[in-house]
Amino acid sequence: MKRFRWWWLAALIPIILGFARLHFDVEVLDLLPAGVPAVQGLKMYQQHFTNARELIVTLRAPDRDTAELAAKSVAEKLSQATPLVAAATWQPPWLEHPEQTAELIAYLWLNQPPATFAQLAAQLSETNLPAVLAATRDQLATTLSPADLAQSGYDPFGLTRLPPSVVSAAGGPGQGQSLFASADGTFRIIFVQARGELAGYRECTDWLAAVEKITAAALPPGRGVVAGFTGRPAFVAEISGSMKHDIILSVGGTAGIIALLFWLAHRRLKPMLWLLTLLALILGATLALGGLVFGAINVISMGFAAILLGLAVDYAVVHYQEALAQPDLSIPAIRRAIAPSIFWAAFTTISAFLVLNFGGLPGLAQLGSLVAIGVALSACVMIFAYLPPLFPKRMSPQPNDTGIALPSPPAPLRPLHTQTVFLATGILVVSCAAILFSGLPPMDAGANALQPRDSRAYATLEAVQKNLGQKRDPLWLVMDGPNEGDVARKLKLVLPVLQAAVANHTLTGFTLPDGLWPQPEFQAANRANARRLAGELDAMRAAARTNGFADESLGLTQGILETWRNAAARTNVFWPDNPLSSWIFEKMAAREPHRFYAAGFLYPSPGATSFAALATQLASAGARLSGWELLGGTVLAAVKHNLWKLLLPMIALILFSLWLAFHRWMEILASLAVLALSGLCLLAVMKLLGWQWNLLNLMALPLILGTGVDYSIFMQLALRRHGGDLALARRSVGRALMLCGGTAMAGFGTLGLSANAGMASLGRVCAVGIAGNMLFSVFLLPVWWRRFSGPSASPEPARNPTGPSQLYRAWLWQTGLRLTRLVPRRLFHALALLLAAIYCRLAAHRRRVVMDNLLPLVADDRRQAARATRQLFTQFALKLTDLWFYESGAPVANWHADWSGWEIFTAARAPGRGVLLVTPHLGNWELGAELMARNGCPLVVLTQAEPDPRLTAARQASRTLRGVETLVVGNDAFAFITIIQRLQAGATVALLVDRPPPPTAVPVTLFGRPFSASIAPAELARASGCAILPTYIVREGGGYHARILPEITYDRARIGHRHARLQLTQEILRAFEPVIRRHATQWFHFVPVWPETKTK
Amino acid sequence: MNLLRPFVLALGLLCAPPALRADETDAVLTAWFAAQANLHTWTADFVQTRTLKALTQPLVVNGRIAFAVPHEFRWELGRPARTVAIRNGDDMFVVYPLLKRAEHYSLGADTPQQWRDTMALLQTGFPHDRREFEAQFQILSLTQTNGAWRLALRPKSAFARQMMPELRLGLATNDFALVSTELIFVDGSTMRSDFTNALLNPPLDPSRFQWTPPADFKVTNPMTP
Repeated sequence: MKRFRWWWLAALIPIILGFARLHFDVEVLDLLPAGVPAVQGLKMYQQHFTNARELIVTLRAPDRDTAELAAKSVAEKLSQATPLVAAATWQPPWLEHPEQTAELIAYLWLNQPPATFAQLAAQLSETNLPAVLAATRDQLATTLSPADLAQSGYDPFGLTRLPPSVVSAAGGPGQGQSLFASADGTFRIIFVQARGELAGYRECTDWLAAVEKITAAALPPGRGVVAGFTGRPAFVAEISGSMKHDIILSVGGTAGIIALLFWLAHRRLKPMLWLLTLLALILGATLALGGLVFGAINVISMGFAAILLGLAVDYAVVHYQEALAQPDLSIPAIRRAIAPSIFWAAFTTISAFLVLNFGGLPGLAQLGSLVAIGVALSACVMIFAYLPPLFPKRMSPQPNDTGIALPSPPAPLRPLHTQTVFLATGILVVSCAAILFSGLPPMDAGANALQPRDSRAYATLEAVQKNLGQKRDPLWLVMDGPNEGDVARKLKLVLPVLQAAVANHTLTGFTLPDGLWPQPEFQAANRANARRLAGELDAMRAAARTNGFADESLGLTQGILETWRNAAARTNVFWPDNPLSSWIFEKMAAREPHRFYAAGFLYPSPGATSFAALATQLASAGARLSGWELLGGTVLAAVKHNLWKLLLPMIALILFSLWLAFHRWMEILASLAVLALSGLCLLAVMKLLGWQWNLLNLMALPLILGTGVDYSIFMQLALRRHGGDLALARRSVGRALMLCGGTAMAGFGTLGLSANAGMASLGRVCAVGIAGNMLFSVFLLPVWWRRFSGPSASPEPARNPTGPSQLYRAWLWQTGLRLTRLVPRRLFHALALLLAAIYCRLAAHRRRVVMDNLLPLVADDRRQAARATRQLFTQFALKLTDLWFYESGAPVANWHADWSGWEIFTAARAPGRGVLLVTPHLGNWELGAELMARNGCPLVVLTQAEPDPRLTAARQASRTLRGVETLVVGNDAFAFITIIQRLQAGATVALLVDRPPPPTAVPVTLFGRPFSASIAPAELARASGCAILPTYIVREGGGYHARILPEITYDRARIGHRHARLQLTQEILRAFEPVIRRHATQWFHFVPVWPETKTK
Repeated sequence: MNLLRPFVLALGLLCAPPALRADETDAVLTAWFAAQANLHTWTADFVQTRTLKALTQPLVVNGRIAFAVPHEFRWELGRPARTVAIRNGDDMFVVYPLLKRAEHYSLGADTPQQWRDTMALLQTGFPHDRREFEAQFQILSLTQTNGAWRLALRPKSAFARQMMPELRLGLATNDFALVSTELIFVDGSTMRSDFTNALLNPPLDPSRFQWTPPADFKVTNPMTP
C-alpha cells in the first residue's frame, strides 16, 4: 500500500512539470512539414514581412465621400489611443507627410547606375542651373496638369523626375490610393500598428477588442458604414477563440454523449460518474505529459481531447460489461480474461496514432502522439482503477475464478438469420459499388483544409483582395542572402524568369523590389557626386531666388541634399529609415544583422494551375516561391508521398496484431473483410454527401484502420470465449462495442463541428469509418465467424505450458538480431524490460509454470516465489537482449565479464584430456563460448534442435561466427559417437544438464525433490575419460561473472555401472544446487521441470 | 490708429459684395443654364495668370480656346502654342508641339472616376446639365461685382478636392457669357484665365478638335502605371 502511494506521488511530478511547460501554438504554418519549400517560403515571408503587430481595418460605405470621411475619422481616433496604437494609416503616407519623400527620392537617385547619377550631377552643375530653372518655369507656365503644377513648383530642379524604371517600381507621388481604396472609393482600408508586441493570443484578443470598440465609436452614425478586421492579430484572436470553442464543444460534447450513452446502456449513476472522473483525469494528465514532451500544443492537436475521450472509454466499458455479464468472477479474473483484448486493442490504437508521425504533417504527428500517450494512460488507468471501486466485494478470488468456464456448445444459427446477414452484406457491396461506379470521392488539392471555417478575418481578407483588384491570391517570392549585394544579384536573376512567365501567361504580372533594393556598388560609386551636390545647396538656393522661385519651393531640394550629405558620410550601405520609407520598405525588405530578405508578389493568370516549373526555375535563381494557393498542392503532394509510410506500417501492424491475437487465418480474413466493407461504405458515403479528400482527412485512413480493427478483435475473441454463442457474445461484448463505437464516433463527430475546416473533415470521415467498423463487427461479423470459422476449433488456441512459447520462433529471433544493429544496448534493455513486464502480466499460464518451478527453491513460499518469478522475467529480458547482441556480432569484451576458476580448467586440460563443461539453464551460458574463445580455447556446444528448424540453423550460424562449433543432438544416440571422439581428441565440449530429452533423462534429487537430469555427462565421461567441470555464467552487478567449479572426479572403471553413473549425475546436480538457489531468478525454465507439476 | 481700425473694418464690410441668398442663387443658376442651352460653340482669347506659391512673381501666358458642346474643346497656351489640350469625345490629348511630346487621356466609362473628375475641371465653365453640374460641385457662394457674377464652387470629388479645393467662375450678368475662371490649388496657388474677344456659336471645323499623333511624337499615357 505504501509502495502504491509512493508511485502515485512520483507520477505527479511529470504532470506538474508538464503543466508548467505547456503553452498553445496558434500558428497554422507550424502544422505543416518544415521541409516543403512552399512552407519554408511562407514561414520566411510571415516571419520577416508580415507585420505581426499590424491589423487591417476595412470600411465599406454607400459612397466614396462617406467612406473617406469614415476612414479619416477612424484613423484619427485610433491614432489618439496612443497606449494601444502606434500608427493608423488611412491614405498613402506620402500624402500625409510629403516632406518625408525627400529621403526616399534621395535614396532612389543614390541607387542609380553611376552614369545616371553623374548625368544628374552634371545637369545640376552651377552653370546649368539657370537653364534648368528656366525650363521649370516654362513648364509651370504651360502645363495643364495640376499634378505637374504641384510637383514642379516644389521641385524646381527636377529631382523628382526619376528614371522610368524607378518610377514604375516605386510609383509616382500621386499613386498609392489603390493600396487604400477600391476603384469606386466605397471600400477603404486602414493599417493599424499596435503599440505593444502582441506576442500571445491573449494580448491579441484584448487589443483587438479595444480597437473594435474605438472603431465602432468613430464611425459616422447612421451613414451605413460597416467595419471589418483582418491581419495577424485578428487571425490569432479568432483562431484562439475557435480553439477554446472547439475544446469546449468537442470535449464537452463528447463527454455529454458518453454520459448519455452509458446511461442509456446501463442506467447506473456511480459507474457513469466514476468513468467521467477518470476520463477527466486522463485528459488532464495527457495534456500535461504533452506539455512535458512538446512544450507547445498546436491548434490541430487540441482535437486529441475529443478523440481520446471516445477511445479511452472503450477500455472501461469492455471491463464493465464483462463484469456484469460474468457476475461470478472476481475483478482480477475479469481483468485477466479481458487483458489480452485490451492489450492488443491498445497496441493497435497506439500504433495507428503513432504512425501519424510519418505522415509528414507535424500538426497531425503531434495529435497522433498525444492520443497515443492518452490511450496508453487510459488502458492502464481503466484496467486497474475503473472496476475496483465499483465492485469492492469482488476484489478477492471467487470460487469460479479458475478462469472462464468452457461454454457448452452454442445453439445452431437460424438459417434466416444467416441469409439475412449475407444478403445484407451483398446488398451493401453492390450498392457501394454502384455509387462509386462513376468515380471515387475527389481530392481537394488546395489549402482550404488549413483554413478556419466561417472565419470573419478570412472573409475580410478576401474582401480586401477582391476590392483592391486582386483576382487571385498572389504568390510570394522570397529571396535572402548574407548581404545586400547577394540579394540584388538574385533579384536580377529572377527578373527574366518572371518576364518569361508573363509572356507565356503563367502570370499576369509581378511586383519585384528590384527598383527599390539597395545597390551597394552604385551607392559607393555615387558618394562623391552626392557629396559634391550636397555642398551646392547655397548656390542652388541663390539660383532659384534669382530665377523667381520662392524659398518655399526648396524644401524638397533641401531634404534631398541633406540626405545625400548623410549618405555620403557613411561607408556602409544606405537604407532610408524615416517613417514613410520604413512603411514602404517593410512591405518588401527585411534586415537582420547577418541576413537580408526581399519579397516580391506574383499574380497568377486566371487559368494557370501549375507553378512547379516556375518554382524550379526560381529556385535555381535562389528564390523561394510560396503562397497559400501553392501550399495546398505542395503539402498535399508531400502527404501523398509519405502516405505509404503511414499505410504500409499500419497494414503490417494490423496483420501482425491480428496474427498475434488470433493465430488463425479465417479470423484474420474476417477482420480484414470488416475493414474492407467499412472502407467501401465510407467511400460511398463520401461520394453521396459530396465530401472530398484533403490533406488532413487523408490521415483518417490509418486512424480508421488502427481503431476499427479493435472491434473485430474484441468480437472474435469474445466469440471464442463464449464458444460461438452469438447471443452471449453480443450481450457481453456487443453492447460494449456499440457503446465504444458510439463514444468514438461522438469523439470524432464533435470534431466535425471544429472551426478548422480540415479537422472538421477529419472528424466526419473518421466518425463514418468507425461507425462502419463497429456496426459490421457487431451485426455481420459474428455470423461470418460462425459460418467460416465456427466454434469447432477450440475456444482459444490451447495454451500448452509444457511446450515452449509460440514466440520462440525464427522470425522473432531474426527481428531481435536486426534491431540490435539499430537500437543502442541500454535502450534495448529498457524496451525489453517493459515488454517482459507486460508479458509477465498477461501470460498467466507461463507465469504459473515459472512460479511452480521456483517454489522448491524458496521452500514453497508462494509470495517469495511470485516475487522471484517477476524478477526472473526481468532477468530473462536482459539475458535475451544480451544474447541477441552477442549473436549479431556485437563486441562483448566490455561486458564486465570476469572469470574465476580458470586454473581449474587449465589443470583439467593439462594431461591432454577432453573437458566436458556442464551447466544448467542458468544465466547467459552462451556467453561462455566467447570467454573460452577469448582465452584461446575453442568450444563445441551440444544442443538439442530448437522448436523451429530455422531457429536451429540461425543459432548455429551465429555460434559459428564466434568460432563455436554446434553439434545438434536430437533423440539420436549415435550422435554421441562423434562427441566421444572429439573428447578423446582433447576438445572442450559444453552441455546442458537440466531439462534433458527423454532418452537421456534420469531421476535425481534437487532441492529435496525428484528432478530429471541428463545422464549424458556421465556417459561421455565413461566413454572418453574426459574431465567434468561444472560451470556457470550469471549476471551480477551490471556485468557477467563466469565461474568454473572444482572438477567432479570419478572412477572411470566404476562408472561402467549404470548405478555409478546415476550417482555421478546426482553429484553434478548437487554441485549446482547452491548456485541455482543463489541465482534462482536466472534459472530460466519456462516449461515445468518438476515431474509432479508436469503430471499436473 | 485704434479708432480707425473699426472704421476701416466697417468700410471693408460695406464694400464687400454681398452673397446672394439661396433662392437668388438658384434663380441665377437657372438663368445661366438656360443661357447654356443656346451655346453650341464658343471661342475666345484668354490671358492666363498663374500665381504660384513656389514663385515670387506670377506667370502670365496668352492663349486661345475653342469649345463645342458637349465635350469638345481646344485650349492653346502660348503664342506660338506651347501646350495644346484637345478633347474629342472620350479622348483627350495634351500636346507639347515644341517638345514633340503628347499625353493621351482616355475619359470613357472605364477610366477611374478620380481621373474623370480631374479632367472635368478643365471644362467647368461649360456645363450643359444642371444635375451633372450639381453632382460634381458644391456651390460655396454667388456674388455680383463689377458687372459679373462670381460663382465659387468646391469639387465634390475628394480626389479633385485634394488638388483644387475651390474654383471660381466669372459670368457676365447680361448674357452669362464666361468671363473668367480661377482655380485655387490646395497650397493657395491660383490659375486665373480672363477671357476676351469671345464669340458665341461661331462656325468651327470639327477637325479643330481632332489630333492624330505624328510619327515623330512620343505619346505617353499617364493614367496607365
